[in-house]
Amino acid sequence: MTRLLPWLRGATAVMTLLLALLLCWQCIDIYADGNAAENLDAGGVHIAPVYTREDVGARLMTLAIPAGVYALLIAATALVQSREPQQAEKAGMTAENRLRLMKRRVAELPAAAAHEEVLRRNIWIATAAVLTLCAAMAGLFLLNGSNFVSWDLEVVMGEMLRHVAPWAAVALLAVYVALRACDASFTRECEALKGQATVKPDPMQEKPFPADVLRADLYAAAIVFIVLGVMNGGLYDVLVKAINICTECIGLG
Amino acid sequence: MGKMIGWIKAHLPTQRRLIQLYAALLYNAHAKGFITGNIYTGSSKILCLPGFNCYSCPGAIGACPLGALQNALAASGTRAPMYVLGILMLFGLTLGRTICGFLCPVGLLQEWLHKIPTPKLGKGRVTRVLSWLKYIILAVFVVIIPLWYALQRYPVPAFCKYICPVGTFEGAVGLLSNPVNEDKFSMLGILFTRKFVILIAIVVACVFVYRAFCRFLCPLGAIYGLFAKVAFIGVKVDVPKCTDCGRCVGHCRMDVKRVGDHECIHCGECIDVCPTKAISFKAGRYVLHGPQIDAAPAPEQKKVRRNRRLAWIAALLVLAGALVYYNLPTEPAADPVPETVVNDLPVGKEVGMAAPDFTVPVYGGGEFTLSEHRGKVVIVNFWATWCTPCCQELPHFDELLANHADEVVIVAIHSELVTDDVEGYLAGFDYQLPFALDESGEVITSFGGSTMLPQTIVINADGVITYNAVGSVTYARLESLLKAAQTGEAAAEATPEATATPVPTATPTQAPTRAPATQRGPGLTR
Repeated sequence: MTRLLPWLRGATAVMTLLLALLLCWQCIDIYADGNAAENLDAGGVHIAPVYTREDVGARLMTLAIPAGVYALLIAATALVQSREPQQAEKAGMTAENRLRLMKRRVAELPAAAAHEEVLRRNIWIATAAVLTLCAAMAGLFLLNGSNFVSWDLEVVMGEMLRHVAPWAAVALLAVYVALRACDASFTRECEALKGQATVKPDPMQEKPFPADVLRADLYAAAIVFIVLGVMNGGLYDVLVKAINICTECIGLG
Repeated sequence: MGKMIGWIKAHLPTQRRLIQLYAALLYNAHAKGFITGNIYTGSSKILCLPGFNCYSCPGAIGACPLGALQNALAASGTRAPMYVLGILMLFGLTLGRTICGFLCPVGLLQEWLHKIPTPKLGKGRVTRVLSWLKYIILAVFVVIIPLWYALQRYPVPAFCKYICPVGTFEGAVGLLSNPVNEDKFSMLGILFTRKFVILIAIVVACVFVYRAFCRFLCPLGAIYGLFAKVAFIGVKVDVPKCTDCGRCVGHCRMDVKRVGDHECIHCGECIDVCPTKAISFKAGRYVLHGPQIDAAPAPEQKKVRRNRRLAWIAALLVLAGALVYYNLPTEPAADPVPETVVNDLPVGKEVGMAAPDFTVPVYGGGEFTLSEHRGKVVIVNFWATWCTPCCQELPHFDELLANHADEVVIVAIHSELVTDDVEGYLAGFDYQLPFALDESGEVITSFGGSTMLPQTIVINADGVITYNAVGSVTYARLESLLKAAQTGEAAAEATPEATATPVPTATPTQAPTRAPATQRGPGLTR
């Protein structure tokens, strides 16, 4: 049974992906069929609706067998899995945690460790610079009102993706690179700290943070906001939106 | 037998799972909505729910906080979004991301999906980086885009429209799965196709990655994460007891750096792995769950157990009350259209029936009476200032009227639910269309409408309905509907879908021309 489990899990994973692809494919195929030239009149208007309940039902029926197999596979895998002894999850420790723990026990930081600290600070300064640049470049587009004048939102979204997504990707990539470099630095510093004289660590001290005061202030602000919102009609706005269906907002069209 | 009992005990749902299930049921207590295929329209929708739950779900009894926030920001050109911001602050300050862990139905669904037995992708640097994506989505789709369009008085809830898988699943799929809404299939097009694919992609991601939507995409989680340091209820660390061993962080499946930070959903799974018993679930200084309770003397523990039992009884009573209240049978609405016959045709809302006559007050003075326009094709459009597709399609009606003024009469009737200064709104544009108000909501009801906008009705020269459907229309579609009405045909199918071919006369790529600031809008005569 133990040997069977990874195979069953793998098969379930493959079936998950397959079923998802089939669902997406059917959906896209219905749309493509509905927009085929034979379903458009001279003015480009659909002769028959793109989606119909019958068509969707028929397409879903074709997925009944894969869906049934999938359900059986899930049941079988879950059954086998439940018979396996439950493994206690290992509490993995990151290099950063290990380092923090070591540092509390070291009397004096060696030069190599100090160097790593400086290196990490520089990495984050550089990352902050990259993030600022990305934010500025994306902001140039996002904070320019003339980019959000057209009511053709498809075009606006396309333009926005073209101008903002690359900078968002660069920013996320920069954070990834920084995390990777810092993890390597943590590991190197851990190595440098090995064999250093140890001391009994002091109990950790809570950093002073005026949470209670801040919370009370923010509660007061929240209540003022709500009262003002009730007075300015914001409450009624919420109701009106909630009791009506904005067909585009839920993807109907 | 003993083995089986042991297995069952090991697989019993946790308190957290029960609370999640409870919240999901309570949020969607309008169970009969799934049978009737319509949404709840009662007054409890004035309240935002703390968790993510689409208000277009047939079962929803409250408003989605994220949808409400986007719409409030979209309306901020005329009204500051105080109420929704205040509510979000209140939720954030009280519960923070405990809402994500305990009170979010979408969180529950994601955790169930993750139970599908497949190999799983654990957390790492990539997931940590991706966890920042939700802040970008919050800034761009929830704040910046609705705000920019608020300046043009065009409501654009961009997250709902382009990303939200919850709206697709609970709202669109929830409504479409009911045979009553069969006619709504005709509205589906590229928007649904795209959002359905996004939904499936997110579902698949949740199978392999723990709470993928919550960790990487959910702007509501991002908002509540901002309150991590000040939230009243949540998992707290007794710092002097902590040895900084990192087992809590290592055990956690979210991308936390520390227990209780902005990524922590306060699920409490770290409480049991802490070797020094430094973690507990607290409300202020009161311990709700943690080693302090386990270590307390027996009478103390008994008291806690009794309190929990009482809390559950109260909660279940509330749920039972809600289920009864929201599902009480209601009197079937009387047919607003009398059983009459005009020109041998029954009066009604269906295509092929004679259109029910109505009179509505027109902005700018006078009244619009349908029967006065017999002999011409009449197009009736139901719209509202707070409805995105309604505002977007108004220029098409205006264009049609300009191009076919001799052949067609068009009236755009605002829903009875007026949240905006409609005259002020209209003054911002130079529409030539006559705009009217359905003061009591009787007119839209007589045409079979209720909770969905926009709705367009085409009535031919003989007063017979040739088209009646909910959903956006394009200029090309309107021309084709006009032609069909003129030739005396009923529109073959209700297909208010965007066309694939651009129509040169329509101007959908530009905002309608604004009227000079000094131009005053017409007043409504009552």
